[in-house]
Amino acid sequence: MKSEARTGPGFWRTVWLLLRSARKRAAGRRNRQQQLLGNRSGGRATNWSGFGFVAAVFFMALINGAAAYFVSVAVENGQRFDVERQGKIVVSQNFLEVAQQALQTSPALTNRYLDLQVSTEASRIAEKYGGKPADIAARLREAVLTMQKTGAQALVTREEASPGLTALAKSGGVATMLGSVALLWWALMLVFQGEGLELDLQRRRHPMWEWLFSHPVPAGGVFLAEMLSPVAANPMYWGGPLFVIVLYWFVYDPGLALLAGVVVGIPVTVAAACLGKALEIGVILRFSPRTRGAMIGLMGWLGYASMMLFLLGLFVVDKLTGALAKILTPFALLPWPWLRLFLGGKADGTFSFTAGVLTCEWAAAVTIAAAVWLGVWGARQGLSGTFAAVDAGPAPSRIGETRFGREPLYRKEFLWFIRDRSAIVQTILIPLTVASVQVFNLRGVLSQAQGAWNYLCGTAILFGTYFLWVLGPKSLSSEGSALWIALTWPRGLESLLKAKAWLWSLISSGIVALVLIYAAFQFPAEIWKITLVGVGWFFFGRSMAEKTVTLVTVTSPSGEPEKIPWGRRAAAQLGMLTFSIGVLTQQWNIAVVGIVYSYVTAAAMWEGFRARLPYLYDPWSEKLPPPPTLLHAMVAISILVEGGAVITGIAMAVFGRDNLAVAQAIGYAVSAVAVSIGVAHFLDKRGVGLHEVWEWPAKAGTQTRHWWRGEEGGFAKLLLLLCAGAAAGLALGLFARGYSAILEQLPGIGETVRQGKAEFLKVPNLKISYAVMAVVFAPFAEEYLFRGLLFRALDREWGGWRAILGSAAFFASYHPPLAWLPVAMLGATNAWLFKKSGRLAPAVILHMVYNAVVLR
Amino acid sequence: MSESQLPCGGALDPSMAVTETASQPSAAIVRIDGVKKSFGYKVALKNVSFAVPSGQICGLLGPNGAGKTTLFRLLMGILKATEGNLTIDGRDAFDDRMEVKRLIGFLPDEPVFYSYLSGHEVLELSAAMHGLDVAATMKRIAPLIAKLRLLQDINNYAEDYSRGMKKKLGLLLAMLHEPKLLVLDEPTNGLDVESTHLFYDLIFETAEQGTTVLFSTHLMDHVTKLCSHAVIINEGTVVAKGSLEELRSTFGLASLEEIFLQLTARPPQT
Repeated sequence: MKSEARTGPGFWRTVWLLLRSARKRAAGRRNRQQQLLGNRSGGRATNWSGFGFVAAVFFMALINGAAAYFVSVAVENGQRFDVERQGKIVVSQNFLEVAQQALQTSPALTNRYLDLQVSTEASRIAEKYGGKPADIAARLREAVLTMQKTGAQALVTREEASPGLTALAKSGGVATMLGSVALLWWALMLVFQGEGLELDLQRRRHPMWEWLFSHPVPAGGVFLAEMLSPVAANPMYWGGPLFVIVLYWFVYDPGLALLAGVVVGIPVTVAAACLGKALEIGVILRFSPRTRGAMIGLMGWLGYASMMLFLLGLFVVDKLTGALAKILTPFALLPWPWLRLFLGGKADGTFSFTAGVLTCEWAAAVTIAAAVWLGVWGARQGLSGTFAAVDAGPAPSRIGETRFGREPLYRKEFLWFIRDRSAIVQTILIPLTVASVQVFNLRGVLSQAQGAWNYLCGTAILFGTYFLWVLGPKSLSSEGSALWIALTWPRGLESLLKAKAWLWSLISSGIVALVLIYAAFQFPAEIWKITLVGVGWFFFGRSMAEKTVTLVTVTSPSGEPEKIPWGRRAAAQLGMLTFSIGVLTQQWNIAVVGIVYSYVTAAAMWEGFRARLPYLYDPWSEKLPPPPTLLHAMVAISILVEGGAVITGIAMAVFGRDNLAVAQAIGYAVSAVAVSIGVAHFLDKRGVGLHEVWEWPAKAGTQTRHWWRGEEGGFAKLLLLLCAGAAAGLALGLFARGYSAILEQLPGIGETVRQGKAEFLKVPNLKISYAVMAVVFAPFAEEYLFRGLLFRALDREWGGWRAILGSAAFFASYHPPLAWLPVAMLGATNAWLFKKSGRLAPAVILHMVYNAVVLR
Repeated sequence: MSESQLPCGGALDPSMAVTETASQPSAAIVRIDGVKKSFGYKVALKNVSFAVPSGQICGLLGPNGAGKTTLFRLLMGILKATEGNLTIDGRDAFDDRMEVKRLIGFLPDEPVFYSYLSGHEVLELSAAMHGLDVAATMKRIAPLIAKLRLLQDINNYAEDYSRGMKKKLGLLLAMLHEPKLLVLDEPTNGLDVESTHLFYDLIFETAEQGTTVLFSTHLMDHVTKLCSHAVIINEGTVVAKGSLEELRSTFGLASLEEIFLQLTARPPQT
């Protein structure tokens, strides 16, 4: 029996203890990941996750800096808008001088010159701020006349009209409003960042909280620690102070601005994080499990969408603020002191650093206190929340014995989709947002394309891809800890996941098909093109779904879902943009390349996934798939292409633009040699010798029906094979020349071909350089990578004709579209030759002869 | 044997563990042979070998952390043995795990269900996934649902069930496809007295129809009443195995609990 009363830790000690344990947890998690990685790869893999984090912090810092710039521009444009509301027009300095000069001289003489200036200025203003050039020109002319008649200052320069943030206190209503709106928008973005869009919301009661509250600790301390955790986890918060630094930089010295970053930036960022987390906690405590997912999904979407709006708004900041100014003008009558207070601006127009700092810190403190109080108040209602009575009771009307085809899984997915409200929210909202973002990003590219039907189709496809991108991982994480049930069925996880992927691609194809059908009604003339897009989407959607399915993770017993490695998520998106851009701009070759790339990436991801799948619950037994994998091949090829381009650029810088051909040859040659040596060394370290790539022995024990496969014969046999290769190369080369000749006769394409040839001959040394490149270096490198590595792996994964055609298509995608047919034939022949003869050498000879014939 | 004779230092020699009698090996449905399982540096099972005779109820006993759950997961093919092999009805537990899953009904120690399906829907889904006729299966297990007193809640969301109800639903899931072998991980852990009896009645009935049952538990007197065979595991190794009579006669103790305590006694930690 203890005699002295024991008190639990105080508020700040609780916070400190919990934060320290959170850090240890994170370190422990990282450590475990490293151990597993080392175990899988035998200690030879490198961990790139740190790099990913740094990149994320950098990117987020950029966004915050951009947001600050946005605020400043918003204020300036607001000021401009205020000036124009008074009837004046803001023009460039140049135009003002011209107009003033026009006052001196007689109107008749200067009219034509003035008209020219007016129309130039009008189009400039229209492009920057929107509006019709004709209307603006008319107003400008009127303003000049007014100036001539009455001498009133109807024209104002931009510098006069928009002094920027420093004149905030003296600015008109619209300027202060826009500035405050932009500031609040940034705050909104920061508040709703949270810890990302994933959260296991299946648990009704948080076991961790229950355990924590069983100790005599102040609830406030627990919640404050909980709220501070996103700050460490989400790189967006690390960039928050940069917003403050940039904004203060507009108004104060750089030194003070940097100080503000620390003294204001950190408290404000922390306050935003706390507020966001408090809202999340509130939702978790007060809403039923099936609704809270939707609410948190909405909040996460708000954070994401506002972030995207900032990014995109930058490109059209002037037009955007102009539009906002027009819409929000009635609200300008209300006071909007927020930005001014944030910066420490006083009513008389001066800025006081201390005032700004104190205001912000005070606001931050109040917010944090309010957030903590919100959490405590919610917890006092009981950790189960008050929804217990609301959501209990029978499940909604039984969906009878509805059979969704042969696959019982489909019914389960359907039930999940309609009962888990977060699914609907997230799979509709997020793709809509992201698709709109992409359409916006590509608006420049879109303006080049003719017709509006591809707009519609392209948007549908973008929506479809992002729908899959969200639906996939969400559907996978909906399994949660209940995945063990699937493990009791006599059906492999692989077949289950493939069924899921098929279902998703069907759903997304259905949605896309609806839009395409609508497009077909609107543009009946283009119906066959729209059908092609539909077909292309069907295949692309399937490959995309297959990729997404490999992102499945296991939920730990404590409820924390395993994070999907960012590399895998990035890989799941490969080909997405290419395909969409191809459709949007009606460049079929790009769309086809996107599809091919997506399929091969899917094969690569499945290769790794199959190695991982049996050990989903047993990561210690997991081993990487045996090298060389498809992934190795694809990365090597990418390095070859990108490296070649980089070295070409450097060579061009060194040797001058006139030596483009030589530079290209050097670039390719160096890259080819470097990559070949690098890959050989890489594989050698993992136990795959060079000869193992160059030769493909028949499977042990199988009868070698073909005389050329056996070991006897030696050199003579090799020579025969090489001659066969050379002969085939000659045949293919001649075919290619014939094909090219036919192309030249075709109307539109022929012209392009002829032009291409003319260009070819104009560049000095091009022929020699290409010859060297194509006959000496290309065959070895390309055969080694595309056939020795890629085709081998693809054959393991797909097998048969699919592998041959797939590798040929992939090979062709790296060449210009007009050359696709002969190049694909070359690729297919070489693949087949490699497999049949068991050696890469004949394929190399074939390639050399082919290139020589084509380039002669 | 009186309680005063319970030593703390392990007076019984585990190497006296009984080997299977000659009449059993051919009828063994589960064979575990030299199995070792490690998770990185941590070794969960060191060297486990035993066989479960077909048609019997076998209890797997062991202190916490002995490796019982790991063993069950190895049987289900969820984990892969570092060394050794496990065969169920002649099929390898990991390599042939698809086939094996037709034969085994598994109940984990903490079953979790889909948050968006009712109990009835979970059963229907599982029946369909096993390739059974859903309507016929549901008709067959309707009396079982009533027996386990789940009838009122069977149409509620499975994730809202209490712990006991979840275990009952889990047991139904395990028995749905009439497996040859039932593997139950601490099935009555947390159940009230009545439900515990219901469980054991059900297990007994299924065993009478020829199903082999392998379950782990801590309740010695239940094992004595229910099981015909027992395997005792301690710190990753088997310290005793065989039928209950054999164990009693080998160790010369009447109570299984005493045998267990003697075999798994560990010196106090300093």
